Amino acid sequence: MSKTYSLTLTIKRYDPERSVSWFQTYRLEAGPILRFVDLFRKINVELDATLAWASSCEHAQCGSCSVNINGRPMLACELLVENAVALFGVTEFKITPVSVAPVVRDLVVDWEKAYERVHRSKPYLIKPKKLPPGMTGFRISPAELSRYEEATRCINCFCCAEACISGNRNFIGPNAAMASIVRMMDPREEGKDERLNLLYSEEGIYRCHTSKACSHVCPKKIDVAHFLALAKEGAF
Amino acid sequence: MGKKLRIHSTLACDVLIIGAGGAGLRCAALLHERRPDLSIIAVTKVAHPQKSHTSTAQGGMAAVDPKDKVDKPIYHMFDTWKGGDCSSDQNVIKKIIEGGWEEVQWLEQKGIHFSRDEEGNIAKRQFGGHTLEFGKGDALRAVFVADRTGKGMMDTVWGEALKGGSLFLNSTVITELLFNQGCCVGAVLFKIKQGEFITVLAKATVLATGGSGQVFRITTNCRNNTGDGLAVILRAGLPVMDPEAVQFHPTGIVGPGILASEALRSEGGILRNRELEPFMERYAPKMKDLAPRDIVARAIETEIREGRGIMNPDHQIEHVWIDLRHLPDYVHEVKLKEVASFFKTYVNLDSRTQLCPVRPSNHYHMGGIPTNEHGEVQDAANRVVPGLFAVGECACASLHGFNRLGTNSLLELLVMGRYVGERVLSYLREKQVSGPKGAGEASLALFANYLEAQGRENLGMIRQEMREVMTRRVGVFRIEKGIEEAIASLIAFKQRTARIAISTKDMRMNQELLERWELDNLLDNAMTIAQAALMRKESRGAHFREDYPERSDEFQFHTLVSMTEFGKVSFGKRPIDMSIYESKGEHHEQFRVMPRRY
Amino acid sequence: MRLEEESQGISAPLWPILEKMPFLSRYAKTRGWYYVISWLHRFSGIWLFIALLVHLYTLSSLQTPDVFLSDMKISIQPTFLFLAWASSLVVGFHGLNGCRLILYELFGRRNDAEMTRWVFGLSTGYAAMVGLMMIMENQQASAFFFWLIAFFTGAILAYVVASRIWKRRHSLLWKLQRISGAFLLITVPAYLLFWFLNPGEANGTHETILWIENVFTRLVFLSVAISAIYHAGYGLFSIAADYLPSRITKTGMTALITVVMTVVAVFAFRLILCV
Ligand SMILES: Cc1cc2nc3c(=O)[nH]c(=O)nc-3n(C[C@H](O)[C@H](O)[C@H](O)COP(=O)(O)OP(=O)(O)OC[C@H]3O[C@@H](n4cnc5c(N)ncnc54)[C@H](O)[C@@H]3O)c2cc1C
Ligand code: HEM
Ligand code: HEM
Ligand code: SF4
Ligand code: F3S
Ligand code: FES
Repeated sequence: MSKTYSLTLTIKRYDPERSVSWFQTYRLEAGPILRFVDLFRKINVELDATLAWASSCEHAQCGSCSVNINGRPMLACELLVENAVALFGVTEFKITPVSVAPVVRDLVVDWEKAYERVHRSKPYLIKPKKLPPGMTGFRISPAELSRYEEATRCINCFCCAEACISGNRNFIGPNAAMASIVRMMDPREEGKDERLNLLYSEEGIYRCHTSKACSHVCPKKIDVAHFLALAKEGAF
Repeated sequence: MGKKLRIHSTLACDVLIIGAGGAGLRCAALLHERRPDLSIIAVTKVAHPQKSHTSTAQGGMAAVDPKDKVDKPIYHMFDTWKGGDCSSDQNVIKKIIEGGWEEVQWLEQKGIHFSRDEEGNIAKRQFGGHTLEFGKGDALRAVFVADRTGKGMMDTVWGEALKGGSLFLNSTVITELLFNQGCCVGAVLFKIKQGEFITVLAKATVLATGGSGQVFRITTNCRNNTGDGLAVILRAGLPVMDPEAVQFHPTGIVGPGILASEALRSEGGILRNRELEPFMERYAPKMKDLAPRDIVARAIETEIREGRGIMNPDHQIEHVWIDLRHLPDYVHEVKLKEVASFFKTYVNLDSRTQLCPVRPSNHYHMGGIPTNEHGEVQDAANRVVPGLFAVGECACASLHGFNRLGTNSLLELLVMGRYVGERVLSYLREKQVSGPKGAGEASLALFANYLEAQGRENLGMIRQEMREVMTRRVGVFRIEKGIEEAIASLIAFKQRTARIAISTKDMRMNQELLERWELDNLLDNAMTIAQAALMRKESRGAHFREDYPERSDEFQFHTLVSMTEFGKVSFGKRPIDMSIYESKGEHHEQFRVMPRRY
Repeated sequence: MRLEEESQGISAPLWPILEKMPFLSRYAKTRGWYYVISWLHRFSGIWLFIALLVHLYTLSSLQTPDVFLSDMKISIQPTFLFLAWASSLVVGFHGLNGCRLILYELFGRRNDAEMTRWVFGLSTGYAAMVGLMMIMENQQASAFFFWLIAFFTGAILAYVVASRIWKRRHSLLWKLQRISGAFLLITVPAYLLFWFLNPGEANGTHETILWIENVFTRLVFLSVAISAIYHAGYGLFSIAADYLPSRITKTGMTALITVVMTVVAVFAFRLILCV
C-alpha cells in the first residue's frame, strides 16, 4: 500500500424484522484506490457480516449499487476512496440508501418498485418500423444517431431521480422520461403518439423544472436535462 | 431460531426461464413472438433483468453480413474452430454462425442502437482471431454498439420480453431442479428479498444463469457470477462439460480486474513490458497484440514471471502496460469512451497521456452444462434430459471449444437463445409430466443447515482464500503439483464452511445466508475445474499445463465431470463433433485437427 | 472526479464565495448549482405571489382617490421603499432566470453557464438602477409612450414563445405559463420602473392618477395583472403537483389555488377599473 486513509463510515441501517432503522459507525483503514463496494465488503469480512448492500457488475455498468454518500446519490462501485476524500474534503462519510424505492434491508432497496416507472415508459419500440425489403439493416446516419446516442447509455441507476428537485412521488422521473424520449427520436419507432401521451401528462415533463441535478449526478455523465428539454421544445 | 422453513407457494407456467440475461431473454422474446399465449416466468438473481451481466459486454458481436463482399460464414467457422483449439463441436459452429446475421437484423428491428458507418449502415470492427480466407487477412466482422454492445443487446431483449409479457421474478435464485419420471418439471426458487421458498412447475425449464468467474480472485465477472446454475446441475446428478476450459482475458485493469476490452487493441493499443518493449511481436509475429486471448494472456504472464512486469503498489499485483497514448483523441473520447474512462475511474490515470496497468483476468467459462446443438441438456451418458434446456455462458454446446474468440459469446447467446426457444416450442407439443411430491425438501434442509451451523469461521475470509488459491494454482498456468495443492485446499475450505455461523436469522434479504449458499456453489465449481484440469494432461486452448505444454490427440474429447459428493468426481467423455470435416464439402480440410499458430 | 469541471462555468468567479456558504454549498456539491438556483427560482416565485397578495390587499383599502392619495405617502417611507426595492431584486432574478429557463427549454440554448452569469449581472444592474431612480426622484416620461413600448415588446416576446410551442401537443395551461412568463419578463420590470420613475411626489401623484385613468394604461395594467395571476397560479399548482401524494389532495389544492386566484383577479379588476 502506498498510502492509507483512516475512514469513518456512518451507515444507515434497517432491520425488516423489527422495522427499526439506526445509524451505525464503522472505522476502517483503506488504500486510495479502493472502491466503496470494496469498503462494504471489507466491513462484511472484518467488522460486521450482517451489513447488507447491493452491487452486481461493480464497474458502473449496471446501476445496482446507488447510495447516497454525504447526501449525493452515486454509485458505490465507482467511487474510489481518494476521489471521495477529494470531492468532499473529509474522511467521514454518511451513507444512506436511495429513497426512490422502499428499503429492504440496510442499503438494499427494492429496485423493482423504482423500475415500475421505467416499465410504464415502455423501454422498447412500441410499433417498430419494418425493415425495407432487400435491406439487411436500416440506414441511420452517425449524425442522426449522435443526437440521441448519449441517452441510450443510461443504466437506470436512478441517481438522477434521487437528486431531482421534483422528488420522486409524482414525476415519472428523468431516466424513465428519457427512455421514452430516446424512442421518440429513434427513426424506427412508429408508435410515437402513445409516448407523447405519457411525456405530456402531469407525471411527464411538466414535473421537470430544469434543475439539472440529474445531469449533475449522472454517473454516466449523460446530460439528462438536455433530453428533457428537447421533449419540452418538442424537438425530438 | 425455531422458524421452520417451508415452501411458501407454488406457481405454474408453461416455460420457466432461469437467468434473465441475454440468452434467457432472447429465448423468452422468441417464445412471446411465436406463441403470445404462453405464460413465461423469467427468474433473475439480480434486482432487475437489466442488471444482468450481459449488460457489461463491451466489444461486439460477430456475425457475417450476407452483403459483405469479402467475408463468408465459412471463414468465421474456421476461425472459431481454430480459435477453440479444435475442440468445438462443428455441428454447433455451423448452426450458430449461419444464424448470426438474422440476429443482427432482429436486434436492428427491435431498436438496438448499433454504431454506424458514414453511409449509415451498421459499422463493423475487427477482433482478435477473426480472419478472412482461413487466416490470410483481418476480418471486419463484429457489429457493435460503441463499447457497450452487451448493454445494447440486453436492453433490447429485456424490452422485448417485457413487451411480450414475461413475468419477472427478480432477486430470486434457483436452488434445486425438480424432476419426475426423468423429466425436468420445474424448480425450487428462493426469493431473496422476501426470504421465501417457492416452487414453480413448468412444462419446460431453461437454465441461463451465466458465468462463474467469482471462483477466481481477479475477474471481469460480476458479483453474482458464482456458478449457481452449474452447482444446481451437479446436485441434480448431472454432469458439467469442459469445466477446465476457463478463459483469462489478457487485459483486466489492475485491481478488481475490470475488463479493458480487446477493442483497445483492435483500435491500435499496444502492450508493453517494463522496458516498454512491445513484447507481443515475440509471441505472435503475425497477429501481435490481436492474437487470440489465451496466447496474449500467457505472453503477459510470461513477461511478468520473467521479471519484466511492473508491481502495482496499491494492490500488490504485477502487471504490464497497455499503451494508448498514440491513439487519436477521437478514439479516446468517442469510440472507446467507456473503456478509456475506466482507467480514469478505477486507477486514476489518463489513458491519453499515461500508460495503463493491465494483467490477465478471469473472464469467461467455455465449459458448462452439456447440451446438444438444440440446447437440450444431456446427462453423463449423452442422453437428452426431457424438459430441461440450457443456454448462454452456463451452457456448453460447445461453440467455443477450449478458447472463445472475442464477440462469439454474444453471438451464441442470441442465436442459441432463439434455437432453444424453437426447441421448447416443439417440446411443448409432447406429452407433459406432472409435478413431483415433496418437492423442495433438499433445498429447505440445505438452508436450515446453514442457519443452524455454529462456529467461528469467517465466510468472507474463506471465500477470499479460495479465490486466491484458484487464481494462483488453477489460473493461466497450471501444473500437477499446484492443482493437487489447490484440491487439498478446497477440501479444507469445505470442511471449514461447516463452522460458519450466520448471525442474521431473519430470512428477508439475508445477505449472509445467500453468500453462504454461494460459497458452496463456488467450491463445487472450483472443485470441478481443478479436478478436470488435473485430469487433462495436455495443453489445449485456454487450459495450459506447464508440465504438458503440447496438445495431445489422446485428449481430443470433451470432459464430462459429475460430482454428487464434494471432491468425489467421476469423469466421462463426449466426442468432439467433426461433421463439417466429415461432410467432405468445400474447404472441409480446413476443419481437420490442426496445430494452432498465429 | 468532477471537481475540476464544477469549478468552471457558472461557479468559476463565484465559487470561492459560494463555497463558503454552509447550506447552499452542500447542495451545490451534491446536486449542482442549477439545483440551488431552481430552489431560488421557486422561492422567489412564491415570494412574488405573496408580495402580490399583500400588495393588492393594501391597495384595496385605497379604493377612493382621496384615501389613495393620502396613503400614497406611506410608499415613500424608507422601509417601504426598501421592501419595494428588494422585491424588484427578486423580480429581476426570477424574471431573468425564467428567461434563461425558457431559452433553455424551448429555444435549445444550452450554454447556460454564461446565461447564469448574465442573470446575476443583469439583476444586480437592474436593482441598482431602480435604487438610483428612487434616490434621484422626479423623472419625466410620457406614460403612454412608455407603456406602448413596454406592452408591445412584452407582447412580441410572448408571441415568439407562443409560436415556438403552440402547435405542440403540450398541455395548454403549461404553454400559457411560459407565454405569460415571456410577457411578464418585459412588462413587470417596466411596471416597477414606471412607479419608481416617479414615486409619490405631490404633483407626481396627480399624474399617477391621470396615468391610471388612461384607458390604454388600464388595459395594460389589466393584462399584466391577469398574466401575473395566471402565471403564479399555475406555478403554485405545479409545485403542489410535484409533492402532493394523492389525486384527492392534488385536486383539492388545485381547486384552492383556482379560487384564491379568482378572488385575487377580481380584486385586481376592481382596483384597476374603479380607481
Ligand atoms: C466484462 C465483460 C465483457 C464481455 N465482452 C464481450 C464481448 O464484447 N463480446 C462477446 O461476445 N462476449 C463478451 N463477454 C461475454 C458475455 O458477455 C457473456 O458470456 C454473456 O453475457 C453471458 O450471458 P448469459 O445470458 O449467459 O448470462 P448473464 O448475462 O450473466 O445472465 C445470467 C442471468 O442469470 C441470473 N442468475 C444467475 N444465477 C442465478 C440463480 N442462481 N438463479 C436465478 N438466476 C440466476 C442472473 O441474475 C442473470 O439474470 C463479456 C463478458 C464480460 C464479463
Ligand atoms: C412585486 C412587485 C410590485 C411592486 C413593488 C409594486 C408596486 C406598486 C406601486 C408602487 C403602486 C402604486 C401604488 C402605491 O404606490 O402603493 C402599485 C400599484 C398597483 N400594482 Fe403593483 N407592484 C408590484 C407588483 C404588482 C403586480 C405583479 C401586479 C399585478 C397583479 C400589481 C398590481 C398593482 C395594481 C393593480 C396597482 C394599483 C393600481 C391602481 O390602483 O390602479 N402590482 N404597485
Ligand atoms: C418577470 C417575468 C417572469 C418570468 C420570465 C417568469 C418565468 C417563469 C418560469 C419559466 C417559470 C417556470 C419554472 C418551472 O416550473 O420550471 C416560473 C415559475 C413561477 N413563477 Fe414566474 N416568471 C416571471 C414572473 C413571475 C411573477 C411576477 C410571479 C408572481 C407573481 C411569478 C411566480 C411564479 C411562480 C410561483 C412559479 C412556480 C415556481 C416553481 O414551479 O418552482 N413569476 N416563472
Ligand atoms: S440518466 Fe444517469 S443517473 Fe439517471 S438513471 Fe440513467 S445513468 Fe443513472
Ligand atoms: S433533476 Fe429534475 S427537474 Fe428536471 S432537469 Fe433533471 S429532471
Ligand atoms: S454494481 Fe453495477 S453499477 Fe455499481
